[in-house]
Amino acid sequence: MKLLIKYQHTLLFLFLFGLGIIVFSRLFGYLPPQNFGPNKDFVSIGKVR
Amino acid sequence: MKHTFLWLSLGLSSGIFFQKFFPVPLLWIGAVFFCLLPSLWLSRGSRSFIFLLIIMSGLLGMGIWENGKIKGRQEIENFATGELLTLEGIVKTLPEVKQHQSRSQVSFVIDVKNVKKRNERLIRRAEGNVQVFAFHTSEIPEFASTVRLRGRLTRPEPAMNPGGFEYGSYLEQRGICCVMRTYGAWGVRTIRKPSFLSYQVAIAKLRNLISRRINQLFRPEFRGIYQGILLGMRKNISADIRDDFMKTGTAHLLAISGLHVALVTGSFYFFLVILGFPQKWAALIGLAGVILFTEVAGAGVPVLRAGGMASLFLMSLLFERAHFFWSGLFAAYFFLLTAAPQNLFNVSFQLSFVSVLALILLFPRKFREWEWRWSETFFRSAAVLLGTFPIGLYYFYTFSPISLVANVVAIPLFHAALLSGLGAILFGGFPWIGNFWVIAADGCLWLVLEVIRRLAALKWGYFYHSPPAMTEMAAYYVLLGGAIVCSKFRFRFSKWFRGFFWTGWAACCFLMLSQGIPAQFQAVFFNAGKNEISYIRFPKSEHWLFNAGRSRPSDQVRWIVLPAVKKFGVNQLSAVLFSDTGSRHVSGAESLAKNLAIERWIFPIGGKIEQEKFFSGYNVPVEFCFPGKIIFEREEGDIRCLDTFEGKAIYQIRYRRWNFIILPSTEPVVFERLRRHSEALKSLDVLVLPAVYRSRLTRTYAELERFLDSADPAVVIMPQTDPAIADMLAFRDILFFDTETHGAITFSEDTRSSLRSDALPRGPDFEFLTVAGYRSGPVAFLR
Repeated sequence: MKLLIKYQHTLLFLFLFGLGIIVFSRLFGYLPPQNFGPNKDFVSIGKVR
Repeated sequence: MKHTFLWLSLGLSSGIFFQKFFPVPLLWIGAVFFCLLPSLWLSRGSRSFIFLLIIMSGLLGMGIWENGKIKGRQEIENFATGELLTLEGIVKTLPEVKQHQSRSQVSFVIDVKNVKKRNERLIRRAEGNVQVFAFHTSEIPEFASTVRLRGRLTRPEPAMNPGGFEYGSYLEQRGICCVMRTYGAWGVRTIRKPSFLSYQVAIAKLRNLISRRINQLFRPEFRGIYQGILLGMRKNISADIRDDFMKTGTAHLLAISGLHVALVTGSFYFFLVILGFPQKWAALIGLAGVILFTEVAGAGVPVLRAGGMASLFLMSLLFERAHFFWSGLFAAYFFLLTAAPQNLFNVSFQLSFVSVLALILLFPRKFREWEWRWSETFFRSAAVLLGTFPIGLYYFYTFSPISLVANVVAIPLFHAALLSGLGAILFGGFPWIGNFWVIAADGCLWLVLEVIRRLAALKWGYFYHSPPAMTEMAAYYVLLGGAIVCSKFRFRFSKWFRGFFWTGWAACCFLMLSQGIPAQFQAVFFNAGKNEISYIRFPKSEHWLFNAGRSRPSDQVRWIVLPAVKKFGVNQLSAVLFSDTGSRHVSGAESLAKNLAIERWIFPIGGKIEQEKFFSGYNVPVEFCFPGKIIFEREEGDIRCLDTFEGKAIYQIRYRRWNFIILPSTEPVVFERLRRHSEALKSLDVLVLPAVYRSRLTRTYAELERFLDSADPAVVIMPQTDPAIADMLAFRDILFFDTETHGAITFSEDTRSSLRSDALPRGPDFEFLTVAGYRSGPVAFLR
């Protein structure tokens, strides 16, 4: 607990850094967003019956 | 550093707010963020760290908002054309069943995986969340099972009337883009059952079990309430009960609010302590209890807030750390916003946090004392009312002073009902003990409902008011915040500042609540399907309603008239005029009488009306109108009954030089009668036609054509468009608007709000009526 308080700024920095990496890498397209954008080409995966 | 999360949340929410209203290019945000990172690292331990932290979390907030926008776009939107489709996907929420007489409806959300159009042999991959309504389905799918649905996929309908519910934006906040409706036994088929080992499936099973247990134990009218407050399933709470709670400002009790979570957790914890558990063990078990309850309660925003706070509190007991209330509150705030930035603009999010803040900041003393007093509860609910009433006005157009009393009485009673209900569910199976719990729960709930019903019946208890402007809301909260800060911290001239802020705040309150209804004339023709309902306002607060709409299958008063009338700030109607006595015009009268003060009903003479209801039921006098009767007269204008026949009436409204005529039907006899009143037709401006029914079509066309040859209206309004009539009118250069495409059509003198000035001719004495559709904006003006 004491360590936590001693290094709180470092921890906060790391927290923000990590969150920033996740958010911005997703925004700039390095990680795919959860859904694809509209009008991406549709993939046909087979015929029915 | 104290209150870390306070600073983080401050930055984050201002970032989201900024990016929503003043969008900045993404590259800039990213660049600044990563440029500032090294300086954040270097400033560790120094004073500037906090400022950098706030700025960086603001940038992060902007990024998160952008990210949320990308997430919101969904492939499946491309298929929302209304044609028949087959969808496959996984059920994401616990299906809720709503039964009304012989009709049944199951609603749930699915995560779509692929789509097949009806006439195509391709299966296409398309992802997105879809809200499903399955009518008369033969099977109710399980949570997390894979289902195949056959039905029509559409975008949610936009609001068509002022004050109407924006279903689309509500769904958007929950990450849903489209609505699927399926009919009949073959609409929903389960193609794969979920695995047994999933945690979420177990929770869903538990919720299902509890919901069935509630159905076994309680009376039908109480089932919906218990399902609402314990499981977050609010489909089955009756509309009347919901209305009563809304009017008395106690609606938060019906939703699962943070209060419920705090209460359940608190009593669980103290129960364990009383049983002799050591504090730490009690905290640990309590923590598990909180998590379980949050999951079972459906994990809505307020539940997550309170659950987060409660678990932080219990963890602080566990680790023997002094508990920082603020950290708990703002940690919950921060994580909820990071997970879904659109939460910031969500009513329940705003209400939940603002009410907690108001509770703590405006009523700080005696927070740790467990002694309970009436006065204290009263002041607490006053604090919450002061904190939240602008939000309530903005979203619900209602201000209820009665909530001060109602909350003091209802909260303890309701919580007794909640706890005994919980007890009944847990121990209901045991003989004797079970009965005791069920009877206690029934009694408490009955008492609360009775009290609330009586309080809601008081006319002075609540009133409708038009929503405040954004600037007024901002001023209100800034002044209140300033006043609180000046009272908390002592600095030079703080007394003066305090005085200034409190006076400003009081002035702001007064301004917000004293603003009356604008004095201009207004006529609104609502979009009500094939039905016609209209609202006319004369200067000096004379409000008139033409027809009350139907109550079946959907209550048009509740969904169309009341929201609009509340938004206008109307509490009293001078009269409700009926153009005939058919149930599609009259059956809505009951909910009208319940929610508004009405001076009289006016029926055309000769119609059959349900006597007892209208003469004794509502305490509203009934009048009859006959040909030529002047119903209302002022120097600016009048309303008169032009003619009546077979229990139907033709009404004429004149305001200054404008002349409106409202027709009850399109039978030939109407036009015959109309032609006798050549004087009234001379300067006809607006002709309001009812919907044309197919069986009378040809006669109607011929009669209308003849009529138009003799009268020359400037504008014709109809509920639904009809190509032949539209052609006929276009040929004669008559403007034609239907409420189906334009939304509610408003004629108003109020030019500032409805029309941009550059579209208008200007001049000192230029007078005109603006014609605006609720969906399409200003479309014309009448000189």
